[in-house]
Amino acid sequence: MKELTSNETSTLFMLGNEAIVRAALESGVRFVSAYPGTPSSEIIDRMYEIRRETGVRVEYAANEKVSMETAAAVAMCGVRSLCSMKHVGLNVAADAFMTLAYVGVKGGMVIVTADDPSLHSSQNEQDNRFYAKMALVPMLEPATPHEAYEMVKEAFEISEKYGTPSIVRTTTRINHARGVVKVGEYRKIEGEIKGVFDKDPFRYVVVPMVGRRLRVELLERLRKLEEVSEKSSFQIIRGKGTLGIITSGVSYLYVEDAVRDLGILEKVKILKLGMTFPIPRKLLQDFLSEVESVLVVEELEPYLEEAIRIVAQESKWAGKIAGKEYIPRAFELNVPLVRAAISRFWGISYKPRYEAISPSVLPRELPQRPPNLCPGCPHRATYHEIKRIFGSEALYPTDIGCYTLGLLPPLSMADFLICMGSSVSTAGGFSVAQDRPVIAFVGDSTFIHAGIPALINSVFHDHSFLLVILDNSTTAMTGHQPHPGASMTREGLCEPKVRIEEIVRACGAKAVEIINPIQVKRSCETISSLRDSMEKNPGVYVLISRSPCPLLERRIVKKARRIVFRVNETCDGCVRCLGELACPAFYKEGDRVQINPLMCIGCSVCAQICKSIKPVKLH
Amino acid sequence: MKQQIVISGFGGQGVVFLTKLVTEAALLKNLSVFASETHGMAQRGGNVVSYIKIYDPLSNTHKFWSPLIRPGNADLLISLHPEAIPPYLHLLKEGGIIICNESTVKGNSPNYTKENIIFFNANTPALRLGNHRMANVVLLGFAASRGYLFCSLEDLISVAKGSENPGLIEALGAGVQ
Repeated sequence: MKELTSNETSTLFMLGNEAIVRAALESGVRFVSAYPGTPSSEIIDRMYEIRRETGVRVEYAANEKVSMETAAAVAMCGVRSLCSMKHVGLNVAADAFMTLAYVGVKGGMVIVTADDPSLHSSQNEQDNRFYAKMALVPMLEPATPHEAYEMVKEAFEISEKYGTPSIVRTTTRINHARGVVKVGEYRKIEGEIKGVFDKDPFRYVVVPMVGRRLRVELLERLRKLEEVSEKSSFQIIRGKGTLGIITSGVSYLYVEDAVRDLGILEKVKILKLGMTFPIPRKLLQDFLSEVESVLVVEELEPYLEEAIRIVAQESKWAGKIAGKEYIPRAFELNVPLVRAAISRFWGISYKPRYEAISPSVLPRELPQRPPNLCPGCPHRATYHEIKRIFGSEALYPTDIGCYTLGLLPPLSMADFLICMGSSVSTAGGFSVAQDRPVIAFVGDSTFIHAGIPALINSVFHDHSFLLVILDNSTTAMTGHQPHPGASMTREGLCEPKVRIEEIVRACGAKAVEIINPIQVKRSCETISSLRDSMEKNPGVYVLISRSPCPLLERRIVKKARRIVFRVNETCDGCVRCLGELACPAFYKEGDRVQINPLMCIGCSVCAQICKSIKPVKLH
Repeated sequence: MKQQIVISGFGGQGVVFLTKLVTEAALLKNLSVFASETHGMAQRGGNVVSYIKIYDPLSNTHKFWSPLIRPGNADLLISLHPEAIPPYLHLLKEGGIIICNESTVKGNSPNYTKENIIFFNANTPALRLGNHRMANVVLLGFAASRGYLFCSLEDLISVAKGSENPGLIEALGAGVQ
């Protein structure tokens, strides 16, 4: 980690996300804000770890919209800022993003959006290149960690020169690739983070009359940015052949390997676009005029393909253009897929030793290994208790976090999810339109991110449901980032700045109860009495199930395990424990259930459910 | 010198950590290297995999471009659990080697009979060192000492010396049989 802040020019081996951090530091960034989300999280996490050395102010934001707006205000004062988010984070920030493009910035501002083709850790795969096109904001698309480094630096320059935020659009294979990065000099900027805000309300307060003028200016800026794109050194042409390939991002790397596999390196001419908004139309025209046919190789949507078809039509180029009829639209690409597409499009024979397979579609006979709640995870106890009182008949809207894994059998405690915060608002809708009791699950960080307006809305409209806030005091799934209501961070225990129970009470919930889910009997009694109250007096009720994430707790408190649990001889093999808890430390050997002592963390929940499970002292 | 390595395991077993050790050893030997990881949701006990490509920039062989390893191209699969072999088996080339940690959990591990699979119990030596989480490093030490890696055990120890974790050198050594 010292390398990230080393002063000299050198060659470093780093994660794509670390390359982005380094580039931002060299560019003089003073303010970074983000809500964590895979595959972007390491950007804010590394920035946070080195914040004291660098003097950069680093804020874990309540959500992406907040992060973008805060960073925009900083940039408006002439201070360089960066915000990073996963692809769906830009949906949350879209309202700010669209009009920020009108207003522009004074200091450089870079927005990193990390797309996740193949949905490695996301609810959808969406192509965020269209956001740049929609907002008319310049966009750079790296293929490697080194390019990510170079492009972030360039993005700051473009942003400041043209007074617009810039987008750097990555995908998982850039964020989570490790490669060699040749870094430049880094000098810490001393002194306070202070710029100047020059008042100019008829420019910065976007009412219709101001917006109309800014809209025209935005289009003028677009023309200048088109020139930047035409001349950008990131638009690279390789080869002299007549078979044209146009590509961008990590797809370019697959193309390079594929044309070598096929032995057609001399026959192809490759255009690798690094700046993909605005589209360099003249450059594309020239490229088309030098080839006979074109295959567009890009992941996800036909973003480049559509632009190229327009350019071809404008320039009356008559060659054949192919894209998505050869290149899959769903999921990540890889060399075999690209090789097969090139081979099919130009009729080049190639006998692969293995058929091209899409990594997202594993052969059926292979065992799948779904992620699971950790041994000792308090969410498991909460799910067990809620299920005991409300049964499988109730409707369980859920939300985004570790607890989404409650979806999997045998827990099966999730019925509906679309996005961050949707548990609360959909619970309201479900309570209006159907008769099952509705119990919604949301994590502490997710509740703060997007759950609060929904809770207020449901109170206002007399919806009727129980909201269970699974409060493990951290943003666990993305790597234990702090949030306003957290009582522990990677650096130790702390007082929460914001108390979730106070927010919930202020929102007007009918009743708020707090349980420690590790105490099974007492928790069940509380849940049971909540159910009775809800039946007598319908409305919005909140249960805060509070117990720290054991993964993080062990790391910061450094408490050694004192006990583990084992199953004694009285076990009759009923396997109720397996069916009701599904703790990964359990396994079945013959007729008996056993607990792996290396995995058990001694939470004791199982022993409260089965008399045959007893503690064993560790030495 | 050219080696393509897949490291697979479950969340928490240390796939990403091993990846860093291996890539640092490559850099120490002035080899070109890049790696790609798949994690995220996977940290909660799901599959975690990394792909490492190593080559000598001074040799005449083609450089590697793309981050993933193509089916039938991996020289070595280091697997931290027997169940973490099948999803990546198709990546292995003919004659490629699998080095796998023996599971601590009996019962449901797939059976393998192929000659190129080497099972090694890295858990016991790790437990003896007082930290079962070090099994990954023990397994890597085993692979290097048997000559299956592009680098020697000494190269890995040099990397370990530069780290802040004093237990690494011992753990690497515990893999020597």
